[in-house]
Formats: sequence, C-alpha cells, structure tokens
Amino acid sequence: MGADVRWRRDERTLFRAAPGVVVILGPDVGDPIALRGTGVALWEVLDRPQCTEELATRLAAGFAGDTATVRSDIEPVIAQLAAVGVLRAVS
Amino acid sequence: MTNTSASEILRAVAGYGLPERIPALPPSTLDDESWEEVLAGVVRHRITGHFMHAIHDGAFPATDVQHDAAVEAHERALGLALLLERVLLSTMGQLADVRAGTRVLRGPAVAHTDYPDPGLRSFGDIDLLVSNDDYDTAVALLCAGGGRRRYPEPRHGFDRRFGKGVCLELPSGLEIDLHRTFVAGPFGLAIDTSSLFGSETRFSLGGHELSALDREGRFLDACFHAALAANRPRLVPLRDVAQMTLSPELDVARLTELCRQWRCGIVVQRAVGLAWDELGLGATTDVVRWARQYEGSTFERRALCSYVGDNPSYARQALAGMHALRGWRDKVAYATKLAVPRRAYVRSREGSYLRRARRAFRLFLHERAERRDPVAPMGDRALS
Repeated sequence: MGADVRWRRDERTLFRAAPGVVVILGPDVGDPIALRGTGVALWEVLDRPQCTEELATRLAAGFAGDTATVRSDIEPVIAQLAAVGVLRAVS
Repeated sequence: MTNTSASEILRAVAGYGLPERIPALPPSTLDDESWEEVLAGVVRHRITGHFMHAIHDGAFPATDVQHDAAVEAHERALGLALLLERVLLSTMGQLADVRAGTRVLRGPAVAHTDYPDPGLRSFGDIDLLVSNDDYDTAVALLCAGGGRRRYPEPRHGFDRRFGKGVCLELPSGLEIDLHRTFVAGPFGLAIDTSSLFGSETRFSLGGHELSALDREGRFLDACFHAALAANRPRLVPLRDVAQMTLSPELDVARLTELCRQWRCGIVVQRAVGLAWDELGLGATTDVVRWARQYEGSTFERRALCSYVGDNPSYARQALAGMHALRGWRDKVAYATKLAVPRRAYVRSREGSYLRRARRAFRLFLHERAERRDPVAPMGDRALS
C-alpha cells in the first residue's frame, strides 16, 4: 500500500472496547479478533481516516515514543485488520 | 483474604458504578479458590463488563494472573455479543424486506441505549418484538432460513394471538427469541403490544439504524425480565432495572399510566424492590417512591403468584391468563386452544393427553385451594 493511503474503520465492523482490550468483528470474517496493548490505542486513533504516518505520529505523541518505531509496530497490525475487512483504504 | 462471601461480592460487582451502594468490594486480593468462585459467578451473571471496570479502576484488587483471567472472560463475553449482533443485523434485514414491524428488546437494545458503554451489558441471545400482524410471517421467514422452534405451537394461531413468542435455534447454534409480548401468561396478555410500536429509540449498529422500544417500554420490559423469573434472576436484569430507574430521563407519569393500562404496577414494584435489595442501593428516585407505596390489584397479586408464588409453572400462568383476557370470544378461543392442543405440543409437554388432563385437574384443585388461602405475592423482602 502507498504511503498516502488513508485508513478508516469499515462502518459494518462491530466492536466493543473495554479497559485493555478491543474485540472486533469484521463484516466478512467468522470470528471476532481481539486487540490488546498498543492495538487498543491504534483502534482508538482510527476514529477518523488517516494514513499510517499520521497514525504513527499520534500514537508516538501519546506514548512519548519514536514515530519510526511506532510505524513499524503498527504496519503489520493495520495490514492484518485490512486483510480481514475491518479497515478500508480510502484515497 | 476477605470474609465477604462470593454472593455478596457478585452483588457489589453488579452494582459497581451506581450511586449509594451498600455492598462492598473486597479490600484485598482474593485467594485462588475465592477468585475462581467469583469469576465463575461473574460470567454466569453476565457482569464481566462491570467486573473489568472495577478491576481497572483499582476498586477490585486483583493479581496480574487474576487480571488476565478477567480480561479473557470479558473478551469471550464481548465476542459473543458481537456474533449475536451480527445475527441481529441479518435478521432485522430479512424482516425489513417483508416490512415486518419490529423492535429490538433487552441485551443489544439496552447495551446501546441505557449504558454509557455497550461493553458493560453482556447478553446470551437476541430478543425481538414483532407486531401481531407480522408475527406469522416473521416466524415462517426465519424457519425457512434454518431456524428451528424449541417448542411446537399448541394450536395454529395461538402464538400470534395469545403466546409470548417463540425461541428459534439457528443453524449457527445461536438463539433468537421472537416475542409477541414480553412474557407468557396473564401479564403478557394484559399488555397492549400494538402501542409499543407507536414510539421508538433509535441506535446505530454496524452502519445501520435499529429501533428499540422507547425508554419507558424498555424499563417495563426490564422489570418483567427481572421480576418474573421463577428462580432468583440473574444479576444483569436487576442491574438494568437499577440503571434505568436512576435515569433522570425516565418519565414517571408515563410509566405509571402504562402500569395502570397494562395492570403491571406490581411487576415494577417487585423488580425495583429486588434490584434495590440485591444491589444494596440507597438512592431514592420518583420511581422508587412510587413503587414503595404501590398497592397491586387482586388481578395483579394473583397473576404474580403464577410466576413467582408457591409452585409456579407455565400451566399456572396459562390458567391465570384467562383473567387477563377481556371479552368472552377471546376467553373461549384461548381456553379451547389450550384445552385441546395438537399432539406434537402435548408430546413435548406432558407426553400424553391423559397426563395433561390429570395435570390440569391437579392444577384446578391447587388453584381452588389457593383462592381460599392466597399466597403472599412478593416472596421477597418488601421495598423499604
């Protein structure tokens, strides 16, 4: 995916957030998936369409971390969420 | 370790976040045995959401291992809720295609409209109210899609006219209850269900807008759910009653008028009493004050006994249902359909017509004796 791709939650995705965990059920998958740790923070900042760089910057600011490190952490998670239809790429 | 019993802890968890609670959470971490007992109860009572929040807030001390076990339990509850909501969306879509009048009841409706966070309200099935006119169509549609009735209908047309509804087992193993009214028996028959479709509360789910009952309708449904369980109710419906009772938006004047029309004030009285008693609440609202002074009619007291009095049963509720019906035509139709049901129905209930006749006779004698010496209807400590 290009760096300018912006990600948003698929509106058909069902989810529940709780302290320390988010459980998500994509529209095209059989079973719910659970995000913990930084995955919970990632889900929270996916509240509006953003590219990976913007997401990494927001998360890095929240955790007082390095943007490049955060980006490398969240890229596989975003790819996984996109693969199961939970996230949609918008131009 | 603490001296507090598991049941006291569960009551405290169920009331977590409500004002003026009396039961206390344990002051220190529980030993393994007590923890296991409490965790099993939390899952059984479907209060993992409140449990997680209490632990997260530091109000319920837990070790790291206990914390992880609580998260796992809540994760399972949330996953089930999402799977059920997918069934709900699919079912609502099918029913919308045939323009059936529907309202989402209980679990998902309450989770998305009465709690600040839907994750606080877990549930184990889907309940839908379907209008009388569309009831047969809705049942046929879902059965055609693989839904299987758990119990046969006594006679054709009984469910649509007099029944509570039907529980359908879906091919996925999940369950959906299609309701015609809130409960079986006299209280369900006394409700004017058509009026429940005159207003609504909308909520968003998976990109769709769904309709739940309005606030007072949801509150009354929660009261029926909490008050009329033959055994002690789960803590989750009691929390629902407390949650809604404490809402400043609950219209007490409208609520009491519905209670008068549907002859169910005693149900609200019992539900609020049980919730305040079990959850150890001290707050007083207009609904609580009204419930304290309410005096149920003879119909209400007798009807309540068929659900929660001595020897409650579906058969007693069915018999008591006669008193809820207005007009001799309805009474005759109701009595006829129940007196001579279809063979499949009898087989699933009593096994044979002879056993059914014997049971009916015993029930008749029991009812006659009870009329001479009525059982106190509350069964629990009165609201005070």
